[in-house]
Amino acid sequence: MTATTLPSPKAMLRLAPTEMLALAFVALFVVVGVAGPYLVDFNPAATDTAARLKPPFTTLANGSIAWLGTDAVGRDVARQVIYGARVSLVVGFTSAAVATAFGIVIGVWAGWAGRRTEQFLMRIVDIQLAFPSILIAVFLAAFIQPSLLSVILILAVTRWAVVARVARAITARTLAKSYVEAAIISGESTWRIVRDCILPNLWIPLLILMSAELSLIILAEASLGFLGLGTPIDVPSWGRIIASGRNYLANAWWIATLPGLVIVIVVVSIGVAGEVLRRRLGRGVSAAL
Amino acid sequence: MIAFIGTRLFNAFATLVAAVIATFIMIRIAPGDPVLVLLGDLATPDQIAAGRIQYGLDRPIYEQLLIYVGKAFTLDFGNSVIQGRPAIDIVAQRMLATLTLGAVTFALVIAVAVPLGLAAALWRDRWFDRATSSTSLVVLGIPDFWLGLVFILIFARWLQILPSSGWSSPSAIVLPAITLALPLIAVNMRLMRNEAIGVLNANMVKILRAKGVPTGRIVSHHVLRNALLPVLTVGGVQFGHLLGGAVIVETVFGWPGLGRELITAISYRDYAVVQTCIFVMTFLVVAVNFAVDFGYRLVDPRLRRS
Repeated sequence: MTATTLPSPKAMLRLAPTEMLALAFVALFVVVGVAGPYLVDFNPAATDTAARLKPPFTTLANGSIAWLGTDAVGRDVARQVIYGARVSLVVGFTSAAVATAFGIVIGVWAGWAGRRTEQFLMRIVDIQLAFPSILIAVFLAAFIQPSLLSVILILAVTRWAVVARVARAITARTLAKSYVEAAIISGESTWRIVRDCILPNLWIPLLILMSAELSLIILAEASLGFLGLGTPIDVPSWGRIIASGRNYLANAWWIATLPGLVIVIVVVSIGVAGEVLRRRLGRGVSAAL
Repeated sequence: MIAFIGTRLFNAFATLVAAVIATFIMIRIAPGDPVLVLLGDLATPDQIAAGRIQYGLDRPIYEQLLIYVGKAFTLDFGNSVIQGRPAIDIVAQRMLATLTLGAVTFALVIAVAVPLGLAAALWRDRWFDRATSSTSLVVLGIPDFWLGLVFILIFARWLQILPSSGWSSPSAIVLPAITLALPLIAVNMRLMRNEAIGVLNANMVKILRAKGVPTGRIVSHHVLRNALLPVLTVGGVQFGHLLGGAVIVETVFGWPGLGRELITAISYRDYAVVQTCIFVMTFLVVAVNFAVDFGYRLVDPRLRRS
């Protein structure tokens, strides 16, 4: 019988098999997202009526195997998924980055300024957090012509508030430290204090938070695509593929279901990877999140 | 308490005004003349001229904003270009379907999440706790629209035991409610677990145990009551997220609620209905948050003092 103790540092670094698998999936997602269009040959506009609605593992006329079947106009679903990974990856990372950057600016500003400014900025954050982000995304998308850029910005708008809240909390806590007081007394400029005292405390918690944001943004992008409010038709995205399979559930179940499984795997893997990140880097910061 | 209600009421009102101003700005950002945006591409020149005066588009921008906000708060959003009747009438009708779905979902979430969370807390770190914990991680990674389609495929197409869409028979609510409930069950179960563990570790429970009170009674009379309150509050806050999920789930299942109306109106560029949906949904979120804040303080006397 051993008493319950904290795992040794080495045990904390060790990865469980499921975690290794999850990290491998995240790596695969990034590689496919970056290099996908160079790995497979796919033309979203090309149609092949002879090959329409073929089930998974069908060998097509040109000798290739449609691992995930073909859609209503004979396009290979697996190739669409590989192409769609790029949209998810690009939108996910840029949106999360924009949201984080904006959230840091607002959060640090609020924490630094205090008083009325802080109250006002945090009130906005509270108001926004009362609304589900997908609702805000749909509200905004209702008025804007869909493009890759608009989707990135819309999703960034829906996610910045959480970052701002965390950044403000950390800023306020850091400002109470004596080394900040020392810096203020010795007449350091505001910018230097923010850069050298506050920002270094933000990176790790916000990196962990960003991994969570990434999953949520990928899900939201797919939802917008499904609703027809996402990226334009000529950009294949996962949500759009699933939407296109909706009318063929009865005779071609694979179009809507298999790409969805890919989303689940990617999002869950990012979640597990985030946990690994939190365990490795996050000692002592979990309280802030 | 009165000061508290006053601040919250002011916040609620400010949020609603902010939402109305945001739609006002968005309509002007949207491509095209605001009148055409509001009246649709099919508007005749007469309608356009009338609309320009009706919405006060010939006046300075701040006056336009005031007129717009005034109209919003008298629920005058104009007529739907598609259906030709007041947008508020259409939306009010849809609200009932969404609230029905929301109520059933909420009941389902509490009925499932509370016992599961409690069980996970009692068997903390045992297989049941671990299993529910990893299941909820996976559930939160599932896109709701996809889950809905998979349910339709399994229960409506293959097994043919439940309808896939509409709301003609009572059983039609089963699949949308489960789809909407699953992620919320995952969240609330974890919350219930953590709250229950907190109570189980409290001195109060140790004393009860020492007094020889049976575990069943401790759980039902003390742990449940103390742990349930935060879960119910978060449940209220989650109402907003229910509305967000409803946009997607209603679209998947053809449930005639606010969410589907919003998406349909967006696709037809029926901006009168879009704005009304946004206003009504914002109102619902704000009203429920206010009610929860208020109710929480009423139920838990400790909070009235802070």
